[in-house]
Amino acid sequence: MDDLAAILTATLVNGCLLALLSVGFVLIFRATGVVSFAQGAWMVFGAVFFYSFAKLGWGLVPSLLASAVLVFAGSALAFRLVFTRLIGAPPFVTAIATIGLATLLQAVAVLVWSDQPIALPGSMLSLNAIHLGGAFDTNQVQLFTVAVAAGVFALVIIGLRRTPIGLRMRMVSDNPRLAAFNGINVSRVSALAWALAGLTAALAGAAFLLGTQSSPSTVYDLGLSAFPAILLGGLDSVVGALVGGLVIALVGAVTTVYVGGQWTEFASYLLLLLVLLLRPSGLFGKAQVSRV
Amino acid sequence: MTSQPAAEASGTAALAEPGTGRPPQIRPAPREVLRAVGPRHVVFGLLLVLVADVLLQDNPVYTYELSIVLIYVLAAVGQEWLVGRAGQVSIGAAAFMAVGAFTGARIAEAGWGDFPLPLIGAALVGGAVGLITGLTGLRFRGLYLLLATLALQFVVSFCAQEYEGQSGGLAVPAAHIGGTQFASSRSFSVLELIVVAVVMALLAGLYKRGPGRIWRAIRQDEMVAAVAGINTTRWKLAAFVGSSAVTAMAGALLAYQSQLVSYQTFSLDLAISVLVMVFVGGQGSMLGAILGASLVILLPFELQRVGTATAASMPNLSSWLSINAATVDDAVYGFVLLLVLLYERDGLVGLGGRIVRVVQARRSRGTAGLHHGAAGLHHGAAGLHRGTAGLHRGTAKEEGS
Repeated sequence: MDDLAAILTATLVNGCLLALLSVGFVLIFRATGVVSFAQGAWMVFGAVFFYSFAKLGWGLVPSLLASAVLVFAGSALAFRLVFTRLIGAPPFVTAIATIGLATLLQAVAVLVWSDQPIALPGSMLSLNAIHLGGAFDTNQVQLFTVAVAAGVFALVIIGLRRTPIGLRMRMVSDNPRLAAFNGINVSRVSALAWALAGLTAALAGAAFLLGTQSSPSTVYDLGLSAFPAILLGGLDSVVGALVGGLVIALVGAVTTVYVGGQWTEFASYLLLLLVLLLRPSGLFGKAQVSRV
Repeated sequence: MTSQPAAEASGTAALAEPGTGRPPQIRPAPREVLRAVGPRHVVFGLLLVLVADVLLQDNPVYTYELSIVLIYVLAAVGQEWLVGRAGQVSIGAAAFMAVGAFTGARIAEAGWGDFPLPLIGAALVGGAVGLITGLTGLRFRGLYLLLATLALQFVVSFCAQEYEGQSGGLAVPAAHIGGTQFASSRSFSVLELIVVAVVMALLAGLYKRGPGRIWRAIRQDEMVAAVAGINTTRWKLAAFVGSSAVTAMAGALLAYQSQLVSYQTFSLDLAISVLVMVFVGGQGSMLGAILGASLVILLPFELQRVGTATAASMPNLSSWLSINAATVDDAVYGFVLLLVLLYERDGLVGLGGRIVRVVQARRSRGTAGLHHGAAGLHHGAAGLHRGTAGLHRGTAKEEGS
């Protein structure tokens, strides 16, 4: 029972973090067809900006918003500077470009903030246990993480379905050329997708930092571990990002409890290979897989 | 050309003579042959002279750097096979190097490891791992191989860590053939040089012939290649298995060179830096792999030298450099990779080709017709290399680059 409670809470919290990272990836992939390795780097910047604002004495919400806005702008800028020039390039070129971007950003973050574990000022959320009845314990950070993820997913899903901007994003992801013929500024919509991806990654970074004192490279590695979740959910599905994140987190929690913490990465990447073998379009992805 | 006077003397008899092949008129004049040598070969020659100089001087610092550079030249040549020829991208270089290093170390340790044997074992095991990974990642078009090799990186790293346990790494004896030891950087560099030369000669032959053309077709347009009757999956898999085997050999060389194999060496950062080598040097060219590997490997050493040189005059810069050396390297790699992808997708070799084209266009202004003929001949002589220096802009466009 204790194990079950631990597994469920860990699944929910880590799954929300992974889902926040994955949804940004999905937005970028849908809008621009770019497989982005830069989500981890934006997560790092979310974390270090959040830390810097918190150290200035700003409260939780202002720090979070300020860091999210900065990374939002940074990601849009990266799209404008790099990826608008790579439109029409083969997909592997853009993917390698995101690897270059991620390496550069991560190095800059480490040079400026150093690669030490980051301790937030004590006035943030508390990690003291809150009893929920039974063996279920939680704390403010976990509740906050889940709330942020729930809010983001609600906004993204409703936004994509119900708002004019969401309609444009869906048109661009369906058929960029047709969207452009219909007077949609494809480049602006793509920039927005990149910016939103940066924003969700920044939120994930800040939320992760609230729960764990971690160094930039730890945060960066966590960003990479979203890939199994992304592929499992399907590269182009928002709901898939959420489900994939939760499933990978469940696998991680189960292996941590029953096998050992060092096996989690191994297990999730093994799952990635299995998905590639059995269902390469993922659980919710449109079958864009071409066997030629 | 030497036969020309004789041919003239016997009139038309020489034209009909079997065995001489083409009629004497079309034979290239010596000047044209010289042109076919091209800047690429000059660079190769200069590099060889440089290597010979380092080996003859026997400065321990330089031979040490050479021995490392040669390892990564081999790794980059292996990855370039996949990226530059078949147009597939993997981020598995470090994983395959790890497989090769551990296999090589085990075989060398086992006693019957006279020099080339551990390398061959590493190539076989690396190729086998490549086959398994390729089967999951290469069945589809697109970036699935990238994701499969990302998974491989973590799986291999984990297995290596578990295998290593608390030992802190596997010790590797110095390379030996019979009783002859190759312990010093200098003697080991000579061995490496032979390995690299053999692999590159074999690959150059392969690229020039049928398989090279098939990979080029796949790289340019997979769909069209499939329509033309090429089993694209099989050929992509072949390139991946081969490139994995070569990369694993590089790993075995690294095991010998460092005499200690530990999983920590083979990080994702290493995989990325091998990719940087291939792209910065110029994908689609083995010369590019050599240049890229040299740059990426020598940069940290040069930064270190800057650090020690400025220790007295600028102590702040010096200490900052020494603390952040690895991170500064990463920043430079990432930035240069972006620059290459944005401005010159064929890397240094492409840049060199551009410069040569500009110079040649200037020189041949006014003799356009003559130049055109020479360029056409050059195209034939230089074979199917992409971005070959001296190619006309028109021909380069025709290639779809």
